[in-house]
Amino acid sequence: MNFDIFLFYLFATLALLSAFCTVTSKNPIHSVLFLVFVFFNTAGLLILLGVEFLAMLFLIVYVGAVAVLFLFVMMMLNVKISESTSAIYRYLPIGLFLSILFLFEIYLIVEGDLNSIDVVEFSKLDYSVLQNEFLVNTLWVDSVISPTNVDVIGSVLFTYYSYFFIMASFILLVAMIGAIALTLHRRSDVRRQDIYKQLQRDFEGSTYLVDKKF
Amino acid sequence: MTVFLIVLNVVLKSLALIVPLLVAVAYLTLLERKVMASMQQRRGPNIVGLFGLLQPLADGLKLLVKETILPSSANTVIFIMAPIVTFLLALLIWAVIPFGESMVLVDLNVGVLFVFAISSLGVYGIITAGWSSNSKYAFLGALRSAAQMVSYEVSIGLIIMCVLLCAGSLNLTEIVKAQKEIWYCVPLFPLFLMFFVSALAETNRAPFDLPEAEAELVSGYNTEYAAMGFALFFLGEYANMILMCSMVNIFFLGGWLPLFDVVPFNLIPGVIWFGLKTTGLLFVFVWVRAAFPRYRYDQLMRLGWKVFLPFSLGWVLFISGIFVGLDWLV
Repeated sequence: MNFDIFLFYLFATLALLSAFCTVTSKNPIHSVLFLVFVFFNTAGLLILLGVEFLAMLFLIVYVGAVAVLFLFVMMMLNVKISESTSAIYRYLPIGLFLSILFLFEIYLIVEGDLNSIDVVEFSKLDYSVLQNEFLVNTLWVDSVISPTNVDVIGSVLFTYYSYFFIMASFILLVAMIGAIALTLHRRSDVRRQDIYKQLQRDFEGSTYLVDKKF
Repeated sequence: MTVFLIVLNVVLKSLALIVPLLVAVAYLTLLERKVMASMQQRRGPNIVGLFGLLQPLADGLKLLVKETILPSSANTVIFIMAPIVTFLLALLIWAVIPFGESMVLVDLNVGVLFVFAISSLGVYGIITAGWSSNSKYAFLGALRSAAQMVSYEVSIGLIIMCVLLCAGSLNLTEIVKAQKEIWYCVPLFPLFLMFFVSALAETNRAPFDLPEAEAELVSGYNTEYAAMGFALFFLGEYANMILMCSMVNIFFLGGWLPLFDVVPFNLIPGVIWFGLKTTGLLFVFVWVRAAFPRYRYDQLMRLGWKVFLPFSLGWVLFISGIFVGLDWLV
């Protein structure tokens, strides 16, 4: 069997199995760890696709940051064992609705022409002059020029999709400010440390006579 | 037959990387004890072998033959998994580190991101160890450690971004080659210092060793571990130390490049240069441990979020501004 195919099935199976375990396992910590495993397998699938940049970002963002915070909160909350199985039926309708919606979206994407995305145009951009009908199938130019993942994604993201990029960053900014605004409440009676003041203190400034009777 | 040869090739290559690494870790512990001892005017280990040179092997043997204890209230599967994960991740990164010109196991195009991704996974070993031990000391140590590592990763990421902007590549070999004219520690000196301090914090070393503050937390997240479990954590931690020093070396001190590209210097092979620089940085790690008192936790967080983060963010803007303004972008 082709090794790539074998790897694909391995990663896909493990991802699905651990995704199932994420939903069903009783202990929330186990759930999070299974979720991490799902992310790992997905990163493996992305590497198989040849988009190693995205795979690494996936690991950094989801596993290295998001899931760690999940785990952190789960451990602090001390939720030992989750509620009984009857709760599953409560969440079933909305879960079903979301998954059907998601399936429909994937169907739409797969149905639509994938080639219409500009990425393909970009990869032909530089050397379209060199291509003739004999070279189309082998694409020797690819092995000569071969722009890396990062080049391609960067060139598309910061040109064609720059507005979306900026919009996404603004949404994140709003979320961040929102989180800060929710948790920020100033109390006047708290004594805070002023590092500059502390460092500026010297002997003369900090010793003085107090005129007070004991 | 060919499959067998391929497997043999991979196994031999990995062993050729892992065995020297483990020896390096063993002798790093000896170096630490000896250097600390001489800084505190003691002798350090000098009984086992000549000048105590066999001490690390004796320590390893002791840990190996001790009894493995599983706490009865621990979550056994995760408890056993945590040290293995830590050790595995510490070994995994070494696959992409270039020791010399084309002396690298896997020359990834996204090498820097790989290193960053895997080192950010190191938190998992620690946090799961702390939680699964079901002990207050271990849990508090793990929480401190995780918070600290996550905080300092942010500034490390931004500093790496500056280096990437200068080198114009995510490939570690390319980054070293880009420093042919001048090591990045000269034009990016503040970043070099910040990266070094962040590396100290990332590896939970003194003066940022709050996760295992002996006086408060016994020994932090690995309190409940005995024998090999503890040894794996120990090996992972020290392998990470060597790794962070290699990263400082690759990003700022020109990796395997000689000090000056003239005759007496460039006759020495690049691997020796790499080793010399990394060892020098490791010495500074130990030196810092002997010289500085431990930070308080709020000071640590303040340094990470209020000093390093804005400063490195500013440097990213500054460097990209210079590059765009002077049209230096590769």
